[in-house]
Amino acid sequence: MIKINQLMSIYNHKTPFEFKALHDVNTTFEPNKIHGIIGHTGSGKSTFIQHLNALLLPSSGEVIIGDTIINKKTKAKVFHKIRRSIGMVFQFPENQLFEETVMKDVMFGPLNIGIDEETARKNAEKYLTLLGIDESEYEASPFELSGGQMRKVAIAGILSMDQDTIIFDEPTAGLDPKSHIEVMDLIYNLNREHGKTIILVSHNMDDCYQYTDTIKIFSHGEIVSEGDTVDILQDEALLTSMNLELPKVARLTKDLKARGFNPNPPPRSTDEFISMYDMWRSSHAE
Amino acid sequence: MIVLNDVTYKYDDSRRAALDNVSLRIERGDWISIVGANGSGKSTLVKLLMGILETYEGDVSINGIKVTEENTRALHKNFSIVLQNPDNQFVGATVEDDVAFSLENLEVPREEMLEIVDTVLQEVGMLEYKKHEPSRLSGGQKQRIAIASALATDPDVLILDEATSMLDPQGRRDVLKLVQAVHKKRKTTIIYVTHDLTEVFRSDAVIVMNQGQVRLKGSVDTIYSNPHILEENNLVLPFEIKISTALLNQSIMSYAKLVRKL
Repeated sequence: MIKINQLMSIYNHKTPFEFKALHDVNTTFEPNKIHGIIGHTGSGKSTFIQHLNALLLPSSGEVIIGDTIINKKTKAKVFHKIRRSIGMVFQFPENQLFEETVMKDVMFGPLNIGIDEETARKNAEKYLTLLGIDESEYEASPFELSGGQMRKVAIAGILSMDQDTIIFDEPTAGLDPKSHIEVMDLIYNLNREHGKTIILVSHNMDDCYQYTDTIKIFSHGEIVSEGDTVDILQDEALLTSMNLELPKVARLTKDLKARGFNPNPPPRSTDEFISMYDMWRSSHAE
Repeated sequence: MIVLNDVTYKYDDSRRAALDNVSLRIERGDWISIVGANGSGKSTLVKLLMGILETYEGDVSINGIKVTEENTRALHKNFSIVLQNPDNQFVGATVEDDVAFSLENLEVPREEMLEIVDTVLQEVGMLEYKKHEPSRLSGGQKQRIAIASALATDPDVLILDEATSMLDPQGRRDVLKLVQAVHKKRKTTIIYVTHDLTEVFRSDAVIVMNQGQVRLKGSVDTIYSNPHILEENNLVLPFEIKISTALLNQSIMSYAKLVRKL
């Protein structure tokens, strides 16, 4: 369980450039779920996730991860413990590839946090396989891969540290449609098949609707709304007030409600919509 | 007019052709979209159109003149490009410097240069950011500055190479709207490279690429009426079309019409 109490984050504190990025954030992340974080550029999302693995320390308030408390006085030796339990996939993680081979790059993270070589290799193989990177690529230079493949190798490098919670910051930005679906399916599987807690920062309302269990909306450095994904992302008034759009499937389901199409639970993806509507239509016709 | 006839290109270290017998015609003032997944040959085609690739097989001509090693610079002089990652193309310390860069290279007199910079910044709605540092702008704003820089030389052809793919939804909409305005006002030929099929609806023609080949070309209607070809080529159908194809057996393009027909 991750718990955040009265978290405040101020950049350039006590200087003329002081900027309060987060004020009074209180929330929890239950384990084994996929949590979505949405909000406009500049709403505080990125600052917030950096607090979750102690890349930033609270100006006041605290972040509690399991039995570890992070506050403004937390010492560096605690960071190590935090980072063994929370992994972070930054935006455009492929920019951080640097090793000579795919395998060396993926093993760098686990070796660096003190995992033994055999386990590191086993983890690397497990996650490279899960990401669809073929064994024949293990000894290739990561820089010879396509953009989508580079992204996957970089993600495998984080996953190989085998943390319980993984934070993804806009993991599909810039990917082509096929790689986009592959990466989102992977994130879903990490949760559903491998029990990881996922925190997903995304601008893509359709992905959030399809793949997450809960949603937190950030605006001006605060969480303005949070709850179950379906409740939040069907709330048109709320989303409009935040200048966000309804997910496309939610919009279409809503617009067809007057005709009697009102399934519960509602479809969350385009494919689900198609099969549910098709069934409803054929039962309707009889 | 740009004409490609049976153009094939291989990178030095590759066995497979990055462009494989590509033929196409781009009329002056048209908006052409080139769509395809990563590795489909889109970017190689862009390099060819910019006149950066040499030693290809086949013919390329611009306005009826065949492109050769000797005349390629002259023929491509009025081509401008906007790239995927705006951070890779900033050279100036301020927005103004950045937009002026290409004009300085062309030795445009200072007075005239300042006038052009103001005009293009006004056109992209970024005049008030003239003295700002490019690095402090949002992604969408950066791309608008990149478009302003591209427009400063008053190009005949403006190429956008996945210019929206790294932007948030608002940034995407802003850039797409700006390209529409530029196309309408300046009658610039637009070559718009993307993997997002929702961004092609303003095009006069769409070219679908995969494995270096042109797999489908035609009007937006033609493209959207061939959902299976799009899917075969690793593209994802726009929401409305995916649903109408599956449930109505036709490719309805507008959301309002889809709701009516369902």
